[in-house]
Amino acid sequence: MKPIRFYLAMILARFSYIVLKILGKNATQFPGVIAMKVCPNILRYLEVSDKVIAITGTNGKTTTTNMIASFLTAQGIDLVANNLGSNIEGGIISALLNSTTFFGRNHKEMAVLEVDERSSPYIFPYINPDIIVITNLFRDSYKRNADVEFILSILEKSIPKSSLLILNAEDPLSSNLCKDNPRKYFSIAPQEFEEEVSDNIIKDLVYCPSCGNKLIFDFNRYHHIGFVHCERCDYASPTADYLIWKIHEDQIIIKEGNNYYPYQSEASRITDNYNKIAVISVLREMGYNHEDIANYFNKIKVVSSRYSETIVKNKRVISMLAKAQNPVANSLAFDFIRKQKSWGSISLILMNETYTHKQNFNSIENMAWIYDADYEYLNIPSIKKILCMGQHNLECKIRLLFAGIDEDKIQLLEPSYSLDITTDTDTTIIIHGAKNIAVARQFKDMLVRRIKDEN
Amino acid sequence: MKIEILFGEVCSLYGDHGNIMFLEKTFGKNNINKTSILETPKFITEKIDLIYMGAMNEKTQAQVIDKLLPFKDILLEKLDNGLKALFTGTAMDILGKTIVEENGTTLEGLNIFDFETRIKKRPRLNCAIYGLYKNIPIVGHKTQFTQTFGDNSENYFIKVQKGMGINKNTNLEGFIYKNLIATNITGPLLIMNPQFSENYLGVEIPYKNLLLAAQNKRIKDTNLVKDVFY
Repeated sequence: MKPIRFYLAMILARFSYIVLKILGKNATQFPGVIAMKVCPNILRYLEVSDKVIAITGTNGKTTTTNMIASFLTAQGIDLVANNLGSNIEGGIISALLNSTTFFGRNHKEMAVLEVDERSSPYIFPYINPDIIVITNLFRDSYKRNADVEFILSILEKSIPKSSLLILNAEDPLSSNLCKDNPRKYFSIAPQEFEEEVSDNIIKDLVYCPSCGNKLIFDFNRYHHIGFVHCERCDYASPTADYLIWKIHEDQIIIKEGNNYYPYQSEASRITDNYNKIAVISVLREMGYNHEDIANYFNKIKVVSSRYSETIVKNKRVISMLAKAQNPVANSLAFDFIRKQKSWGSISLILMNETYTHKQNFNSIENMAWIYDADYEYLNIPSIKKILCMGQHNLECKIRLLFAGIDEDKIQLLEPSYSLDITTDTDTTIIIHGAKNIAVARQFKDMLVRRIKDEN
Repeated sequence: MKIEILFGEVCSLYGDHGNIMFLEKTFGKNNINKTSILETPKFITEKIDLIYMGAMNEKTQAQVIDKLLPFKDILLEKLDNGLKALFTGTAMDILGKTIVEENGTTLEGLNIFDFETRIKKRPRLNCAIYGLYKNIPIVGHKTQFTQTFGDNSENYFIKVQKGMGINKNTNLEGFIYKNLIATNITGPLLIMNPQFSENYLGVEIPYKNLLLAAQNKRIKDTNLVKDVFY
């Protein structure tokens, strides 16, 4: 028997959903928040699908969720997904409102849900996922996530014992979670062309999770990600069940057991490949064959809001998403930029604050995370100009100076739509956080137009 | 000045690396010793002028206390002889009598100061800080699960005008003993507070004008905001 307030919550949440849709607004979070206000334990009363796949971790959740949901939808499965990244309680409830009747009865075959790792204790016990993907764990927002040890402890307590875990074999933090749970590992083999990145400022794991001795990296891909072993005990990175064995320009080769499977691939960032192998692992565990999965991958591209590149008159304009307050995401973006050999001279626009540049300025935002991010990687000759944008652009400039970057290269920009950005370099890159996807797109379009209009 | 960074690989959770970068830039990398948690601190046996330790999680606090407890008397003696020591973020907690978890589990601290730190995981406390240290402005942030209880009326670090002191009922933040400063303020304290850095370290600092401009903006912004908790 459901309480009266459950039905009241359903009425208000569904009404707010309709109103938001009529107004052309995003209804991925607010209806759930309303429902929670009226009925705080509403998740208890919302029936979930028979099959639930949850995706959590610090980086890569949204892309992984979108790819899984998109594949399954293409297979004709009627599913619910929160594929716009609304991954805390309100977003999950909003998604489940779409998969249930007014009386809370489920009418979807499956649920594919991105779950914020910090919110997992308030979600996992109710949705009881059959499969949980943990993409990776790093330090993230100090405000919400504190430190990885804290996140590990809440995941350890909140993951249901029966869930099959799909884990990153190269992450010695998350790969050791819930040791009694059934598990499969994914990984990417070191590639011949790959250089190790062992000079990151931060490493969220330095010592052996078993004995506390210093971990030895056999291959350090970035931060604490890579293949490790301990010389004091027998701890070592687990063997992957699903491995990207080779990465070629337009193809990746997956190794499963002793068999090899080619997949077309346009992804150039290593993180895209981690997302891809995580998706393949889930779909294989669900019983799909490599041929069907590969056919799907041939048709898709990485969501353009995360990485978008336009070449006009031999000039390149790029927008890249790197979550603000997330030093690893930013370091990966900087590392990617420094490794590009064909981009010529580069201008960078850094929008590294969490508020949107359109409204809601947060004048007291904690910017300390920029000292955990590897701005040193931007100290390369090809980068000719760095424009720091936002309320704390002066603090950004100071960080760049401590990274050794020449002061003459650094300019300060106030948030504005009439930006005086010149396009005299071969490449212009906008690095922006999740709140500024729309603003970054506008800047990018404006830059492309300016280049087109140049004589 | 010879500086020792204590356990930086595990004690720099919230942008505390900024302080290390600042010290490297100010004094040169050759004057900075980085000691890992597996090593014995150098200040025990060598001439060190400043030790620095940043924020850490509860598990690391226990390791650090285990590591430093056998050398507590030496540390006190060195402090009495002028050693400078800066402990930021949760590094402050290890200097008290106890750290008490929500379930009552108690970790004995180094007992250099008479205070108790109590952990409460929800809600997490986040706030901007503005206060004065000997009339020198201090800005920064706190991001923590803890509040600390004890009398610091005679030996506080700053009098807070925005934000909270060692707990939500006091505006007195941190503890001082001779040249030891312990504060829950996290992040690049030395970069965000150029006048304090010059005063405490007794040297000219890099990018002083820019750092002052950034600090003035922070002071202005923090004072404009009604509620600095977020």
